[in-house]
Amino acid sequence: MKELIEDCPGKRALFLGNEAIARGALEAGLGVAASYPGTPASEILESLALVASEANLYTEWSVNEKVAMEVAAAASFAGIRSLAAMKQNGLHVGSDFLLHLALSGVRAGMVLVFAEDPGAHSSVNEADSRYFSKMLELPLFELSDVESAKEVIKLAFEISEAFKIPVLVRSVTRLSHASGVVELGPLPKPRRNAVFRHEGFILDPDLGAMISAPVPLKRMLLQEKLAGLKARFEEFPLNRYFGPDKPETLLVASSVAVLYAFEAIERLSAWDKAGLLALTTTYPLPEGLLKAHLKAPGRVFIVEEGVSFLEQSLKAFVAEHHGELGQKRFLGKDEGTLPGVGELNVDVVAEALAGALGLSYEPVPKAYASKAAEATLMHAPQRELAFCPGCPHRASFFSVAKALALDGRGGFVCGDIGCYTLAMLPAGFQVIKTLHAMGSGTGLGSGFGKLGRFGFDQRTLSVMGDSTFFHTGLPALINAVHNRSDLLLVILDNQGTAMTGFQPHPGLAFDAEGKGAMAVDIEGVCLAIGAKVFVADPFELQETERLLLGMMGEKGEGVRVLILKQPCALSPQRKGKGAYEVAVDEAVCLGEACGCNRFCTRVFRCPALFWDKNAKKARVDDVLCAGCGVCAQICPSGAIQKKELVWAA
Amino acid sequence: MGQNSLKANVWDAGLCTGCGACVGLCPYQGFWEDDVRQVFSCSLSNDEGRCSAYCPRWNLRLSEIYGPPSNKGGSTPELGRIRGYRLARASDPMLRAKAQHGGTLSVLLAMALAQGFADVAVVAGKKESLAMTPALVSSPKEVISYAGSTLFVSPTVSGYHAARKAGFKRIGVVATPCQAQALAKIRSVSERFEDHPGDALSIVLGVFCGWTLSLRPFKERLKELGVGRLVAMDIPAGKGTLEILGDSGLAELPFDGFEPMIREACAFCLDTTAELADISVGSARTNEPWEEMRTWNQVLIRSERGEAFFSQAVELGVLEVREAPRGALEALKTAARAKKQKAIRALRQKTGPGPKLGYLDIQDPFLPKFLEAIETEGGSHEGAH
Amino acid sequence: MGGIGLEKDPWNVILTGVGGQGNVFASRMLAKMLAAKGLWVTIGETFGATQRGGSVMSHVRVSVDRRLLSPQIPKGAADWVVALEPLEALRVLEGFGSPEVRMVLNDRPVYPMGVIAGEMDYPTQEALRADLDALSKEAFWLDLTGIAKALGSPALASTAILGAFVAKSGLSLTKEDAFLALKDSIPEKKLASNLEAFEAGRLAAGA
Repeated sequence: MKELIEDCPGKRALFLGNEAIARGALEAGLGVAASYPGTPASEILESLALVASEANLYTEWSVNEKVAMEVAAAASFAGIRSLAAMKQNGLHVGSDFLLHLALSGVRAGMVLVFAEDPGAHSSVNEADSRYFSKMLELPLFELSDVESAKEVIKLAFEISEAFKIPVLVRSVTRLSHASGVVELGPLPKPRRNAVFRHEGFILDPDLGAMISAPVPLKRMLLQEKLAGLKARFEEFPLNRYFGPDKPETLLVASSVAVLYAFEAIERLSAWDKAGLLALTTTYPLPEGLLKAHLKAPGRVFIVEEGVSFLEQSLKAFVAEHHGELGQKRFLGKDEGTLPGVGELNVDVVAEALAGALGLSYEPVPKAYASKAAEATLMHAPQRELAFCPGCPHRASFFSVAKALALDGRGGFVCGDIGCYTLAMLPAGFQVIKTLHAMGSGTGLGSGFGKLGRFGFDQRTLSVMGDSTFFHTGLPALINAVHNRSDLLLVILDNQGTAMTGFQPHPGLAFDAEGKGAMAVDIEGVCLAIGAKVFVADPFELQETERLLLGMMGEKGEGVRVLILKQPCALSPQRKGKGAYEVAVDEAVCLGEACGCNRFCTRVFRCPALFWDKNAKKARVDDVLCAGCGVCAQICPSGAIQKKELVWAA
Repeated sequence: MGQNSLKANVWDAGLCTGCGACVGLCPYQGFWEDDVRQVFSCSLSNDEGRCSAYCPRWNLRLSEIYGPPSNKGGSTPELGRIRGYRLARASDPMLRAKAQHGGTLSVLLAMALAQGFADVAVVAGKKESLAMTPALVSSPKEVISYAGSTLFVSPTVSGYHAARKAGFKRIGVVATPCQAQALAKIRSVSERFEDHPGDALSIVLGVFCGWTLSLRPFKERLKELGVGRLVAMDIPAGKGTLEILGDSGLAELPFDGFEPMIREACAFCLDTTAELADISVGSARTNEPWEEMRTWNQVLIRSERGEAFFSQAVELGVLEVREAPRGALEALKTAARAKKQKAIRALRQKTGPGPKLGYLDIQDPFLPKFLEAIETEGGSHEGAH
Repeated sequence: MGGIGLEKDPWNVILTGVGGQGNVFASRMLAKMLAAKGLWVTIGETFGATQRGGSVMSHVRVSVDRRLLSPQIPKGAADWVVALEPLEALRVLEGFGSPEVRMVLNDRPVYPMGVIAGEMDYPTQEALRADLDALSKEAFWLDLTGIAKALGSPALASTAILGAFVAKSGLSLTKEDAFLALKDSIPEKKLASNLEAFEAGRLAAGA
């Protein structure tokens, strides 16, 4: 990513939204960035890490988002501009620290970017975390498009530093993972000299200790900052208005909904009736600007994704200034003009707006739409999500499913966050029965494992990946061990944060920038905690199943840990280097006459194994096959055969 | 009839004996501790599924497994075919000592392998943690290490499948009554399958069985008793107790209040003496002193092949034989009848009113006769089979 | 328009396929070539399911002017659909097609899990062709995986289809433009084969 650090003002570059954010930080003189991988935020730190040495940055994948915030804050305290980036969940993980950081304040500019996922494309929640800004009394910016994102980030740094307050910046999937053309600005070459001053009076923002107490005084200071910010936001260049001077209907939008609202008005050719106030600073609100635009229209349509955050704020504002602004009719999420859940897009907004304006919106001729819907229904089988060919998780869950079934005590798996979350689907034999936050599987498992005194005899398993282990799994495990919970924890160690693109974690011997790092040994940690630990290769199905059954345990047996170690099939060490050449011996495969009822394709469900409808036999797709050889162990006829391959070192 | 109905009507209904007839045929079900469990759901629902075809607790036609009435050897409703009834024991006292009771079974099995009656024998082997697993024995010398009785079920019939898969053509099996029924059912349906799965069965040595213990409740009880790891168990005659010898103590459990530890499926069992074996062997529980009797076995010789086989053992001098005391066979019949009556009552209760009778096929023309013979007090000695 | 042959402004192109086929790569390459010509381009896409056999699409929107554009193309507004997998083209049409849409299709199916497992049917090519013909103005079918395989790797289909699309849509983009777009984003050893694939796609589409 050469363009990310190209000092060539005026040049245009095609950037991913997350790269535009990174570039904005670089143009603001960033020194330290920390993050925990999570879609859709990962590429922010990923791209910064790539240029870290050239740009004289320190970047890290922190153990979790709270620590990422802390690492970034330390830099700010020492006078270095810093960025913490995370997906929406991360803001919740780190909110305890943030609560106190709001009170202590910061020194050099510190920006916290949280990228949310309306529509839950790669999340198991649809959090709208904007209320944290009100709750913690911190300023909030919302990014709307790739082009302006870079500018907003630069301004966020300036404002953070000017007001000595951390600034929250909200992105969403459709911005972080969209690309657009960005005009490069100058790249500063800041002289950095990190010093943490702490010799001054406690209330001295530059020289005192960075502490949230005395709380009442620190809160008063914080509220003074907010008042100043309110004034500053009146002039904020990226709070924009489009449309006629006195529209009948005013659309107020933030985040990518700005784009949807803009294009909806355009598609309805309704610029004569409607105006659009596009806000970047949604907390605190720029009151003068609002007053100026709210006076004329009788109707206010708030366009936003998530909860009715902006809508509630505007309603309160109009009520407060009722005398000056008069009666308004509000449209938005609360009374159902916009759906309460899911993502917005141009069509959803255009349809809602058309309804409000008495227009009609028919983007596709009805006949075409019904013809297309019918053809899709008849001829387009859905693509279900599956573990990749050669994925260790398929093998692990195959054994887990078998062991749970054989044990027969109604056992289940408390799931966690990673690719292995797919084990709630047929791809992973549907063994996962609880799924919540990072590390929660083991916390829940710890709780289930203490219900024995109430007659609970179901075997409780929890699973977590290697990265999740460090993130928040560890405290849950310690809790379970300490309290002698009856829990079998299966650590699916695929040696990287595979789901988000192989970012390193503390278990690995290299860091975000590819430099050497201390590898923290998972097995050693578990042993030190006092758990019984076994390690196995999930590709050895029989051995894994034997271990699992043996470890299923009895009441009062305490915590057992099984570490299933096998690198991800897409990892650099395995990709393109199958261990075996795998093929179905047609003479041995009995096909439909076997009585196995297509076990390999129907149950095991590896994308590289397919059922040849004509031959009525199983086949291996040699383009897709990753050569793990696991399927050779499951064929009751022994028809799937593997031949070991030798790779030159 | 597919795996899912087998699961609903047999495994989950408490009818499964754990004989292992449905185990090891396909990847969809497995055996763990002492139970068969569905591992993956098999959507097949045709009548060709081997799991249900082999299952002795599904659609059992007595007429088919017992075959047509034979005119050689009397057939009794209580004990099945009887060509001969003896007390027997191993001639070698060392072997007797190792074998808990008379050692007759070990002698017969070793002889079957040594004299070429079977190329391999399937026996119940012990696994860690009390569970049983079938073992394949091909050398007469190994036989003694599998001697001794157990009160837990072994999926022995799956060992027969494994032996066939390994290519053995003449397989001997040491079978409990339910396992012998399963093997007989496999023989009776053998023609339905291309590979004739019953053809490899060369000899079945039956063991008497009153009931088996259910592993998990027993383990819980063992923990409560505090006798440490289980070393041996026995049922001394006439005491109405189970002796449990652990590595740190001995306990005697009275049969009263024993019910929860007994395998549910055993309550529906119609066979005490492995009627479908070639020879059946049990401990000798006669009215003579237990200390003397405990070194003898009762033997019921059932088939022609069994008879020839037994005679050879006597001729070779590896078995000592004596006539059974007077009244012993009658006592055995009385006990067997009582068990059958109890099982039929249990089946009627389980199935409720109507013609259904648990796993018994009510289309079976022999069934009414059999029921009549058993349920009529002191019924005919020449019964259904 | 814009000296490059934009038929419309904004001009909307959807690239679709199955995770792992190089859809994201192809959309970035197309957008880069167009941005290098001074056009304003946006790409909208979702990652996440991209490596797990799911349906994937990228929306590329092109304009001569700087303007606010949703990164997701509105319903019925796709001008072109470029499909690395033909079934995915059908799925795209349901949301974004119109009687005016034109298509370039790779004819090699990638079977969904349910089809692999023998539980569902993949449509015959005749049925799929009939559907797509009925739902588009033009549909160009090419054996791009075949072309790619001949050049050494089925993965090159993603570059080949770009060449074919450029030719069919009349964009004045050349191998040189492809070179400029690719040179910084792929390893040098893969550069030559990708350019070859681009050119082969162009020729196959009658350029």
